[in-house]
Amino acid sequence: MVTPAELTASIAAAAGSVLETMFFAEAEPGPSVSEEQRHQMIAVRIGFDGGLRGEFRIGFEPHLARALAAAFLGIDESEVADEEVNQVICETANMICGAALSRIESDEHMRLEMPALTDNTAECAEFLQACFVTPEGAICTGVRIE
Amino acid sequence: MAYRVLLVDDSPAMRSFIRRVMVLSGFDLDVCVEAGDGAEALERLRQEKVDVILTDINMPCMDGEELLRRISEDPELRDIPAIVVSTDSTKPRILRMIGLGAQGYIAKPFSPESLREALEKVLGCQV
Repeated sequence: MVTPAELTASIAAAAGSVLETMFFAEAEPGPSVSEEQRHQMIAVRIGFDGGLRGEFRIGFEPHLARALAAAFLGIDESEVADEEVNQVICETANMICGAALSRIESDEHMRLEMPALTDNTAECAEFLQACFVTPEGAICTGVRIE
Repeated sequence: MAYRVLLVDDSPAMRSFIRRVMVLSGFDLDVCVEAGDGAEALERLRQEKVDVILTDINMPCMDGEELLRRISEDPELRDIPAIVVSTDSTKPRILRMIGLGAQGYIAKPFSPESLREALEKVLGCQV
């Protein structure tokens, strides 16, 4: 059975790897964000099952989301459409969630639901929370295992 | 030699990223055909000849696993090499996709070098 510490470490490693490899960006573990910051975040939800069953959520501060989209698409931030920001954020969430679970459950079958934008970024006691900071803004992740 | 590539991913952003990485890596891209899921990929394969297929797994309508199964059953398509590009890097999934005929497997996140190496290996070329 995976422990909360193992899960948090896996998400941190996956987030770091995705940001560095795909965006040439760096993220470090950071403090929990304020409620106001959390409400402004662009958030994505992904359900998963297999060896583990549960839900992954991730929120990006808007400026960071736009900067990531621009870096991913190789265009200037001013040229990035809102729809493109959403696509890149969903894909980023998918990569972080998939990489984190693959690290923990490498010998198990895994199935991820399609990433979906959600407005629910509220801090929730049943979710294991971890936040990261980048020069462009904060990222908050939450995972709940059933 | 310039290559014709079919990119299959439900995320237009990921398709754009892969296309850009291929070009920046020096890969000689003649035509890049794109599809948002397995069903659309099969339709495009019947219209266009390609040298290699890069496909995601987790997609709506028809996923990458079913796409590879259909390709392996089609005498006109089964010789086209396929490389899987997926967030799922669990051993059972990799073995299943290789069993369905995938000649390469790239786990997301991936570096430009790993994409280039996989293409070189499958196409037998030096990019």
